[in-house]
Amino acid sequence: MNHEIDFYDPDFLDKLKDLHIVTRKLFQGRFKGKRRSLKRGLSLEFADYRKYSPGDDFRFVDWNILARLKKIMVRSFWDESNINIILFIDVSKSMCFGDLSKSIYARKVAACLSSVALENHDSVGICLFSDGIARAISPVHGSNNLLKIFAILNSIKTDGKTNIHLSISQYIKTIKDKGIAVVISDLFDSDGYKKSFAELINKGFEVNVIHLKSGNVDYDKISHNVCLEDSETGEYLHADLDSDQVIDEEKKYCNEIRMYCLSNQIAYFPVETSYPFDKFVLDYFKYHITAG
Amino acid sequence: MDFISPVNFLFLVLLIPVIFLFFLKLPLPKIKVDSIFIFKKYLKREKLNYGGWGSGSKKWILFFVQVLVVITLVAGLVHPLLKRGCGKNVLLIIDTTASMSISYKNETRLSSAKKKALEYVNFIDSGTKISVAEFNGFYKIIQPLTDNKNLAKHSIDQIIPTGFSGDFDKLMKSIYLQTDMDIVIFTDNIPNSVKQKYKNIHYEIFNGSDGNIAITNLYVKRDSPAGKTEIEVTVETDMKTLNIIQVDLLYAGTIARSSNVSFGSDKQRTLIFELLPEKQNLVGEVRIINKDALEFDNRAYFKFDYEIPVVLKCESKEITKAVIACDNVKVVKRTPEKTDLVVTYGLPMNQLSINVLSIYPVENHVNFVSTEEGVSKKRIEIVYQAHPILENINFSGIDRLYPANITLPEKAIVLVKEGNIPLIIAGENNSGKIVVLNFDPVKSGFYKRISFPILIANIIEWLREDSNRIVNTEDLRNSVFYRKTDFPDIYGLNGEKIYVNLLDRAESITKNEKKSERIGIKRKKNIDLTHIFVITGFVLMLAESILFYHGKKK
Repeated sequence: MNHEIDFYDPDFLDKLKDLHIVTRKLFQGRFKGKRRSLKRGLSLEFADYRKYSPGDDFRFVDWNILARLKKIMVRSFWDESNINIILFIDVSKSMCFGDLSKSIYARKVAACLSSVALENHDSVGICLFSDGIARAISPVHGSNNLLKIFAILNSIKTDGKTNIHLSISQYIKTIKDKGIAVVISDLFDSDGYKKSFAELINKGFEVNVIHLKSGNVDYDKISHNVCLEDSETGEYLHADLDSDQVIDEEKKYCNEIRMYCLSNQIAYFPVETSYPFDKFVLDYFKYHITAG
Repeated sequence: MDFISPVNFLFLVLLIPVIFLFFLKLPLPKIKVDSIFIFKKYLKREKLNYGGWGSGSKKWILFFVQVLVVITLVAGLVHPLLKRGCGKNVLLIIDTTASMSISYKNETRLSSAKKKALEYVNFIDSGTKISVAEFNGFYKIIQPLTDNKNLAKHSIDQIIPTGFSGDFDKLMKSIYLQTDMDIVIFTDNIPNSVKQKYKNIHYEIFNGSDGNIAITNLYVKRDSPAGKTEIEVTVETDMKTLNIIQVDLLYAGTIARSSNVSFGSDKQRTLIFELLPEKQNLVGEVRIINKDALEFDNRAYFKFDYEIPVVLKCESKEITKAVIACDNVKVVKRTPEKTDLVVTYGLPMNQLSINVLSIYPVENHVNFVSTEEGVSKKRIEIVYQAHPILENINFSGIDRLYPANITLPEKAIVLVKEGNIPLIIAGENNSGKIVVLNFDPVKSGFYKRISFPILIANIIEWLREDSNRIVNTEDLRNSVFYRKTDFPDIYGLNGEKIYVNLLDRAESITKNEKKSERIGIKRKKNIDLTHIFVITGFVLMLAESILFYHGKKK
């Protein structure tokens, strides 16, 4: 399913101008950016003093210390670089279920994050996945790539089942630099999500999970004997169910993810597609500001 | 399996609404969800099966249980009876000795034996294994045990006469020792001694024998040493004691030559008849008459000086149950061969003390040139319907009774006749009563299971009043001949009892069918499956209810 989305709402883009993604950890980017790097460099932010050694630039000699202590000390500064923001977007068939499609919601969120990231000189990589990598681009930087990313997001076709781990592990093998990994998915993976998140953490990524939930399932209809059709697999399930119990089960599943994320320092953002998109984006960035 | 009330199968139409209603309610409401992941997770956590038992399949199982309930209850309603057949092994031995090549009515004895054997194979219930052997001095199995009737029939068809002769007694003994199978022997020579010794050996009697005496060879010598045309007749007997027979050569029913033969200790005698010069065309017949039956101690043997209890006699025409037991009949003296006679068939002598008389043509004729045969079908007429002998006797639907020409005894009246020939005669004179059955109950289509025993009971009832009186009859020896009728496989005379039970359908078949008391068919009690089916039906119904309630609860 493919819906063209207009990502150029000027009012909304205006709101995003002053935002940026905050990370808890420091990452070493490949390009110059606005973030403090792990390396020493030539930024304005003072890092430390060290003894002069031949070949050092005289411009960084602290003459006041030389006058007071008779020691030649050189000032070092933090370097500034960008970071990689990798967006893992679930494009399995379950993502396009219902009127309030999770896929559209995911694309909008991804577009916002990409926009903010590129605006802040960060690199953005995109991995569209279902039961494997559907499409992927390596991290790109520069505002001029925004259109390219928008085009990719607009070309998303939902198909296949969800296999998060396979796709993520394949993708992260192709990139060298660490950064923020944002997984946007409904997390309906029968193999589980933990393995993939653990692998991201082990690789040094800071993981954000945006758990999209559909507001389209009418649980009131589910009472006793029903035949449920899986939009993703086409599988039928004849079951004798109670809607309240299923809702409880869904809550339990979310709580389980939340607890796992909490214990692994993963930022977890559950959201229903009926929730206004712009509010969610702003909430997301607020969280980052507070967390930062 | 039989069904007492097969009409109740109509209740199977109840299946139609069951199926219809099932398919009406089968389609479940379909709800499309983004993923059934959560639902599966829930079911897994609750340890509920999905996709199999407990969901859609349970519906089908419930449906099948419902169908089974209907079927089992209907099966109960039709009252199924499981007929328990036999699982016995039967050895068919066909005599292929020289005597079996002799023709009788354009058919050799071997052909008759084969025909009988094939009939027998057809008659055997499935499940009985058959082995076929031929006997010509020693017996040779030509078909090992098989339950394939076609194989057995094929083996029987392949049998040809060998021309040898053999000791039948030895054969019997060897077979008896070697096998525990039921044995059926198709032969022209019936050794009664063996029959008594080995109880599980049965004999099929066919033409050319009266049970003890048989013409085993018949040879026409056109150029005898005397230069005349002669007929050589070989007669064999298996009797151990003195046996006198009369061998007659007849032309057009007239005795041309007659000779009495005494066997003594020998079992075989050969007689030579010189043909009359004017009878060279050899149209005629040879017959043997067992003179023992005619002359041997007849008075003592058949004297009724004891009580004959007739246990039950039908008193109305609406017969519900008739049992005739003659098991208390005691014979004062037996015939030399000591065969068991149950109901007495008589000896037509002057001054008989016997009351029941059975008369029909002698069977042990051997034609050496074809003769006309058959009796034209004539209407059976009941002349004296009110006679007590004919009470509850049914003659309707009987094709032929094969009566013989008979001279009507003095003071006797005809009760039943076919054309002008009397079939049943009853009469009294100064000294006693007489009943003559002028037909062969065995050969005829007379109803042997019900009418025949009732007839005998009626006769005994009627005769017993004057059982001690002497009846004088004229000498019938030139026109009537006698033989025994104790064929246990035909009309149920077995041991010393006659049973007729009309409540048991299988035992009350009034047609001339050879069903009971046959080898290899061990009649066991039928099992009524009604209760089993009904109980199963209710158990299934209960199971269905529990399943349904369980499903609702979930």
